[in-house]
Amino acid sequence: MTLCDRLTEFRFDENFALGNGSPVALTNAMLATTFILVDDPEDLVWLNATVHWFANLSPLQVINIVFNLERNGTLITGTQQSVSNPTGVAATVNNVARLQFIDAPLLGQENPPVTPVVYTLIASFNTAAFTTGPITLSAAEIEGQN
Amino acid sequence: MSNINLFFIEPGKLSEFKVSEPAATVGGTSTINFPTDPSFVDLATVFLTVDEITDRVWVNGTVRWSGVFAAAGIISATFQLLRESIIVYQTIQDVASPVAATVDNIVHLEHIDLPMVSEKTTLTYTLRAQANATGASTNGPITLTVAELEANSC
Repeated sequence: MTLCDRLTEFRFDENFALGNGSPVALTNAMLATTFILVDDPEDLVWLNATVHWFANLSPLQVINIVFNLERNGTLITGTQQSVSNPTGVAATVNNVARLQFIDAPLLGQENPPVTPVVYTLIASFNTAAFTTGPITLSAAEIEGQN
Repeated sequence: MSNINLFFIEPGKLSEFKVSEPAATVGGTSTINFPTDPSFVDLATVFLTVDEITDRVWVNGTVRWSGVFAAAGIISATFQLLRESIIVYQTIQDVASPVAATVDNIVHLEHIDLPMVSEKTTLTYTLRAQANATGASTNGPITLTVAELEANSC
């Protein structure tokens, strides 16, 4: 990392930007995947993910969902979010999850070749929750300027 | 990275960035009530000039908002991003309370737009909101950013 870092690559996967997809259950579901190319141990990858999700809840029910980001199948960050129904009748409750992480996929490697790195957004833990989008996963490479 | 083949060209250079931030703190603006369907209220607007068909626009919006409850209930808010008058992104977030209370939440919108223009064009991006019931509002923070990403030439 230098004082003159710049964004040099940007890739993304975005599904159902208008939230009109078919419902996908958040049970170990792969929601989005993208890749980016890195070639320097100091390359940073700025990851951003945003997901609208919802659950059909019974009265007074609470559920939690885990969202994970993986690099080449290995967990690098994750977060957890809830929705609750405090009323006495069944209801659908919506939320929006947001993940942000700075990855250094080649840190410590000497003279690495150009390397594609695959990032995947995964949701898990509850069959009662769904998404119809939008689902956005973006990866931006930040590297030092020559 | 010019010594690698075309498949490996890095398709991204941040070449323009614009922001509209009507409020940077809670209370940074007077209260903006969210209307009910079919009306929307504009929360932020920003302009960006693009000029190539491969240009991508990375749009990010963040809004803290709240719902006021007189009793147990759920308030649902719809947030949209528009390019000109076209809805390019829509998401929904709720707040819920078991008692009379004010409940806060933060929504984030993220969209990669492909305006597909072939000549210099100034685009307007708008973040707007609506709720399914009265009682939803924001008084900040509200942030809307647009970043132009274009292909690297080398």
